Amino acid sequence: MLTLTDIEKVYFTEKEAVHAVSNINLHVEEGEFLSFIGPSGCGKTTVLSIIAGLLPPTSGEIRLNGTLIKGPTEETGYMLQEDYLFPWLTIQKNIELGLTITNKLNDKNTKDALHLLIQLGLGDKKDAFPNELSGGMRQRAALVRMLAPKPSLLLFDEPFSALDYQTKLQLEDLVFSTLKQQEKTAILVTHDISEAIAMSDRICLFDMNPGTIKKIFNVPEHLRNKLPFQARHDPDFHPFFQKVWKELKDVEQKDRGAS
Amino acid sequence: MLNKKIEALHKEFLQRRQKEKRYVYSYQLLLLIFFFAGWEVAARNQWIDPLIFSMPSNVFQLLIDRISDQTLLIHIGITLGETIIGFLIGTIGGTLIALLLWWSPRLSQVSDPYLVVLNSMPKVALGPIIIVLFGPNMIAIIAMGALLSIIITTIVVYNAFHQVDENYKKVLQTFGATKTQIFRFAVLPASYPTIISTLKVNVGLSWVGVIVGEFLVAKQGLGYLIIYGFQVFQFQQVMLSLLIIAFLATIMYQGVETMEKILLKNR
Ligand SMILES: Nc1ncnc2c1ncn2[C@@H]1O[C@H](COP(=O)(O)OP(=O)(O)OP(=O)(O)O)[C@@H](O)[C@H]1O
Ligand SMILES: [Mg+2]
Repeated sequence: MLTLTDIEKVYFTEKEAVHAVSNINLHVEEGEFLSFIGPSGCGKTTVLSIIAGLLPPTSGEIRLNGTLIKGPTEETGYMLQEDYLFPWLTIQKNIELGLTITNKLNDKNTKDALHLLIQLGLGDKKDAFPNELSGGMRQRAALVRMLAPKPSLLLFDEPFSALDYQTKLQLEDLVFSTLKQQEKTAILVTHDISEAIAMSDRICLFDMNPGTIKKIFNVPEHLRNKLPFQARHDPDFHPFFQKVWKELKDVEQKDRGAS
Repeated sequence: MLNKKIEALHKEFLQRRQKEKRYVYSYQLLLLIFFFAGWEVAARNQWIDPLIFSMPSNVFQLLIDRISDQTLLIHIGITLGETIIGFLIGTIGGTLIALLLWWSPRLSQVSDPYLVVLNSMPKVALGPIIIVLFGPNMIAIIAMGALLSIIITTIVVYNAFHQVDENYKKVLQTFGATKTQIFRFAVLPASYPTIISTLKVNVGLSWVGVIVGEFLVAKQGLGYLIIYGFQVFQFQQVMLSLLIIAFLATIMYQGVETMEKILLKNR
């Protein structure tokens, strides 16, 4: 479904040229859930932005369902660390904005989006303004906004990191089941190894300077299909966590040694 | 039981608030009466020179006369019209220029030093040039009114456009939004509060521009009444015009403020 070939990205600033990511090769299957983990500044956001078409790669190519990505497409949805709901629009209007821009504003799509809003427990909030909602509610509303134009590939850049722990756990389950039900493909950037294991099928560990994919872990088969909350309590969870943790520590230590 | 007590306390609280408000209003009214009465008394007793400061009763008499001979309304209409047009040109023009600068970062960089110079320039000093450009007529006066507000509007609104959180634009970009859509759905609404706050400033600036313009060229209008009254030593007329200007400018300012409340209701 998604293929990245030899992606390189160099940022140019007045002071220097930053070789942010290098030699990224990746193939993601339809319906797969992938996580990116790695030390801060290793280029996770950069790769995600390139996949979203927000940022042109310096070289290399990305194909989504065979077509070359040159800019943002409606096939891709992107969710940021904070919700960035427009404060001057009601929740419903916020959700419809994505539909308007993708030229998909029709009765059916609006109805589907509102249905999803109800499913995520925000049915009574559609006429509320974002500042009347809690952080978790806002992030759910942002999720509905992203899903409204029905993208097939979803990109999440640390979507839960601004939330408190309990809300985060609840939202993980909610996002996981919503995506599985709609059979979406997803990539999640996170700092939290547990979250990566609980939610994904594969985990890409990034190395730094320049950012590359150092290793890809396959999450044990029977953890994959469990809800994140249940996966966290599986006996196999902890040994696997240790394994990923050790590799991540190695990477971080090497970076500290290098700098 | 407790509820009743809370209710009673709340009522008491509201009554106290009401009372406090009434106090403030009565003192404000008292101050106004005191001001005019003091003025009248001081002028009648020659404590201040009535030739220069006139007195409220005379000013009021003049107001009645001028309304009945129908000359005042024409002057008011002309000045008000000039001010409103100058205000609209300044505000809308400034916002449009800001849009242009936002659209083309290169244009904004090129024009930056010129905007700074124009902004620091005391624009009324350009009065003679404007009169030469447009001729000694109403257009020159409107141009003065607009000139005073257009530069500052451009700068303030452009900064507002520029400071809109990148992430709001990013959200729209991920949906494949065009630049026009980004402007319309993110940049413009996010800048509404700033644009509206410039409206309030521009009301004041347009009045300054128009009155100065009328001092320089007009044959009609409140600014003309002031300068003419001054030249022929008719200070009643000067005072009357000043009071009318204060009144109208306040109304306009209040109007903009009400508009602000309506437009920003949900922020
Ligand atoms: N616009 C930019 N201009 C210049 N350098 C940039 C820019 N954006 C990112 N970088 C650099 O590229 C590298 C990768 O940044 P990126 O934001 O992709 O990292 P990240 O893995 O998402 O980090 P974090 O986990 O802290 O979010 C960093 O060294 C960063 O300083
Ligand atoms: Mg990042």
